[in-house]
Amino acid sequence: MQIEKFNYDNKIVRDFAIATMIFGVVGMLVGLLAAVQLYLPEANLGIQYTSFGRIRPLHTNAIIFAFVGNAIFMGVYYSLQRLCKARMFSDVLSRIHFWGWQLIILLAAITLPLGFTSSKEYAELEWPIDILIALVWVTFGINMIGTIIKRREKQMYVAIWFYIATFVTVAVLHIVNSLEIPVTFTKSYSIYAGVQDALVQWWYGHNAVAFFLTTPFLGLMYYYLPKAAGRPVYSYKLSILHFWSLIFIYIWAGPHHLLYSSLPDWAQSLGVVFSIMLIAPSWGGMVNGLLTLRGAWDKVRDEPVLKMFAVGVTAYGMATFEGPMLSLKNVNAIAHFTDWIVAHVHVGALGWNGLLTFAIIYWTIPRIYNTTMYSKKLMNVHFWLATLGIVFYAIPMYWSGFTQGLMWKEFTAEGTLQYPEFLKTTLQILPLHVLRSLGGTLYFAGFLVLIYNVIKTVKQGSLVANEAAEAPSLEKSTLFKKGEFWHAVLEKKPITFTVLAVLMIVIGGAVEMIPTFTIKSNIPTIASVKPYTPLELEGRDIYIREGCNACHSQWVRPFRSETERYMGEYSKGGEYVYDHPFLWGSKRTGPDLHRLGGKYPDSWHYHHMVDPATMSPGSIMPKYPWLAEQQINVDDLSKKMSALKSLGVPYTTTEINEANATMKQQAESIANNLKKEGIDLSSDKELIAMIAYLQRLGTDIKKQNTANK
Amino acid sequence: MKQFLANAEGVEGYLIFSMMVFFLFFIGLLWWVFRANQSYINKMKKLPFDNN
Repeated sequence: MQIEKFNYDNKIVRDFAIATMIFGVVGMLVGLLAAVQLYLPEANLGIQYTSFGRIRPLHTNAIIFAFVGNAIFMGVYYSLQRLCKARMFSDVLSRIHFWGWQLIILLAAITLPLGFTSSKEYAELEWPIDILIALVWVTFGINMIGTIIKRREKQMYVAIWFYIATFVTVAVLHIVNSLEIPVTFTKSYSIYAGVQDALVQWWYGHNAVAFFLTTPFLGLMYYYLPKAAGRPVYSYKLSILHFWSLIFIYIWAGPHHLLYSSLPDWAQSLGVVFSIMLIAPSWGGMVNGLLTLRGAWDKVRDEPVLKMFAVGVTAYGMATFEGPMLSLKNVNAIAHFTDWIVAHVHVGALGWNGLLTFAIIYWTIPRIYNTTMYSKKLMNVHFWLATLGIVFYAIPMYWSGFTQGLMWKEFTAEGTLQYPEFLKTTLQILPLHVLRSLGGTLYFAGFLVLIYNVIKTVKQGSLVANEAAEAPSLEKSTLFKKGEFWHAVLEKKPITFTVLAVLMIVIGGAVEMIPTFTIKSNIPTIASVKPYTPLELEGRDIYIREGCNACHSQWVRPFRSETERYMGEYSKGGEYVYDHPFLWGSKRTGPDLHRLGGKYPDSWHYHHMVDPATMSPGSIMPKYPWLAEQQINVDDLSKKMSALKSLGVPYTTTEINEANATMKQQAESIANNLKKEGIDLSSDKELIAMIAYLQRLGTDIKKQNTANK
Repeated sequence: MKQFLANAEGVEGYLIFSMMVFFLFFIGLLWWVFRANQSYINKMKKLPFDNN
């Protein structure tokens, strides 16, 4: 057997590590800014580009795709080369992947504050960037699979299976969820509408958590945790079991984000059952990680890296127990739309993704710089700042979530709502929001300690850009032996393995989606539901631009506490058939808006948008004075309507041709209404369109009821 | 479980189908995993420590 000499590419690992640190700072700072705005709305400085609705997606995208994304690539590029005993397949592809990903982040940082958004959570970026994401992701995939194919190690270690599953599933999720019809370079409409769009979005959203925040980190855990602990993984058999079960089950669980919505009941039930089942494979990973530390607990006491792994994996265990519990319909009824969910995701993000990322940075940087960490003491300081930061973040948010959930449902002995004014439930939790931002600040401070420590470490060492290694070449003839364990055979066939992994994830998605798309009775149509008028359509696009759906749902659940509060029927699937994209939202920082239409006069909306506190004293909603100044952009109106027509919205050619005139007429009627109330607002302002849209919300079904009477 | 199935209104086939698919898959997986050769398992466990 011939011994081959080669080099590991450490420079690419270093580059991704730098990007992780830079975007960690950006993502956390934007998060902090958003958190402060929730009790001090003036913190947006009165600028539209920094208002909550626009920076909330910036925060989530920066943390998920920029901070965690770069951390994944850092860890994968380091561990994959060593597990395959091969340099990355192509240095050029590595660079394209690195710079392409940073370009996507830069474009996100520019476009999201500008309000270019598809509005779909964690998939907000507009279509040209979606295409770029797909291309860069495939570059990563080719580079990874290429490396696996040219490996010098027969078997693929468990970490690599998780990397493969991550690559293929994220590709499928991203493409299916991002299917949209472009109107202009910065505007598109989802090809799906209403209930179907919601199902696709949460199939994506849930599995983005699964395959971007979970599986790659499980892979990293399986490589780095044994290395750091100096002992092999507790059970390799368990890792086979939990890998295949996890990727199989995860994909079914998306509908638990849509409980009590107008998604067909059977799909909701399917989501619940599979969510409960998810505990088993998730805990399989946690147990395997924690038990790897058995007998090494003395080391855990001394090694901050192991401490971070231990707390990080524990946070994973907590979040993956809580997730299935939140999927139970009775728990979900209280928790959904509240800060409880915010607490839940941050235990995962700060605990699992954050601490593992820190541990991996602390483990990797000194090795590629051929030195040791500058200060172990500072690593310990960071560990405590991060851990206490998580505690001080999560506890106030849980408290706030329980408070909201219970206050929304509280009835008096007479049978009326105890807190009919939504604002009261918001004001109640503000002190907890202040505490939360302090927790976040602690966590952020810890991250700055990491950066200082890493800079000092880098200065005392020097980068081993190409690390020499050698391994025997892999002779094809030795690859397969008769009667071998099936998984051993599979591990030698990366392509077959990849195809099987795709098959696993496609089954679940298909069983949920095909019936929802093909069986008509799943979304009963309502005759009185009509497409939006041109002005309402423009208003809806402004609603999307401002990210109103970050704080307001459009989904009244079938509870008395909700039909009473929102003074109307619960939401029906047939009401959303022209909603490209759906705007159900996932959080109620403010009240639901699905039955808002006709509730207040136009003038109320004018005052409320310009300065919410004048209508709702103490309101934490930001002011939107720019809507009263900016003109409605009418240039693309007919293009927008034609695009929607091609998706099945029944606009006639005449309606499209006369769109501008129709819009003007409706706008002037609203401007006249305002004038009667002493408000002088010209009919070409964005606020007019916004009022038209808000006044339309949920009124179609009321028309039907009037007709029935 | 009974309550979930009762909610399904004529499409319980999907629930039963999906549960069966997973059940069969999982039993098969379990069967194969426990037949695994111990020396292979031991080798795999040590892979991250192999010269790197």
